[in-house]
Amino acid sequence: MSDFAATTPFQLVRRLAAAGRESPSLYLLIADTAEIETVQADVAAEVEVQIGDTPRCLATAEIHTENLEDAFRSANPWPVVLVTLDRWIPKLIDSLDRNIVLATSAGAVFLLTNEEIANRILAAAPNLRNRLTDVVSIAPDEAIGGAPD
Amino acid sequence: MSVEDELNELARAREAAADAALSDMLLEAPHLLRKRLRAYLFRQLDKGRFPRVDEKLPELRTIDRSNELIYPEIEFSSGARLQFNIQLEQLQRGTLMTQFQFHLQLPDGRSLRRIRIELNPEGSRDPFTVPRCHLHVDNSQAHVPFPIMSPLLILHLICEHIEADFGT
Repeated sequence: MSDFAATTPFQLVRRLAAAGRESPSLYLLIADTAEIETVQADVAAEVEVQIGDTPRCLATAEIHTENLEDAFRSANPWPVVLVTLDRWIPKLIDSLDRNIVLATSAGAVFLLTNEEIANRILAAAPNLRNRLTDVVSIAPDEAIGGAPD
Repeated sequence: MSVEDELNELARAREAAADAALSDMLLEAPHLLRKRLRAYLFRQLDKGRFPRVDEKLPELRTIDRSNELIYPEIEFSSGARLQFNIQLEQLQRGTLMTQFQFHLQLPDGRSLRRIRIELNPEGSRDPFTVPRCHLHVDNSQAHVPFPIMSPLLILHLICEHIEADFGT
């Protein structure tokens, strides 16, 4: 388990909702590899329930470095984008690092990954690291004693 | 037709309409409804309606297609206390509500002590006396017919109107 503050999808989205739509935000979410899919579904559901928007969910394979802008573009004036980074692709991280202002210019971006990839991102992407609103360890609700989902 | 027969027929027609409304009211999946009820309670927490809300509640218990959402007790800032329990059945076409109890204990000093809103699992043989969805005021055994509505709307009604106003 990482040393970062622990949270749940509910707490994370509640924090985002409380911060308001005016401030762009970028979160690095660290989950156990086996729980990434559950956390992704949970975060997406919480965004729908608490913010009333359908988040844009992207997997590593869906983001192309040559048209990064398209990946983050949305008709929604304040999109929530949830990117699941399930493998280490240096070219993608490098592109994200160089274009992080573009990616986070309006809206909220969650980068969801495991601890190993998160540590590599933090070491290799200084611009991204500097723009992070927070880095948190995230687990599904039931992992901290909540009701089964 | 006697007046009594006519009243019973009217009561049966009302029950049939309520059953149809219940059957037509497809809810979202139980785990999403749980999230929605929790988010609502936290919004009320932000408004000061509750001193605290437990993030782990309501609890969702699932056995096969049957689901139960349970909130053992939540205390209002006024001192009122609410317990609720909602039973849901997952069908191919969606989630149906099959039974619920919302029990509100009003705070000391009110002229009323309890409000109970209940949906029985089945209609009764005497729908005039015991409508399936009903409200009890205090310890009265009178079953006042209550409209079929989403549990989120019932919760809102309790939080914004019943708890704030009844017995004041």
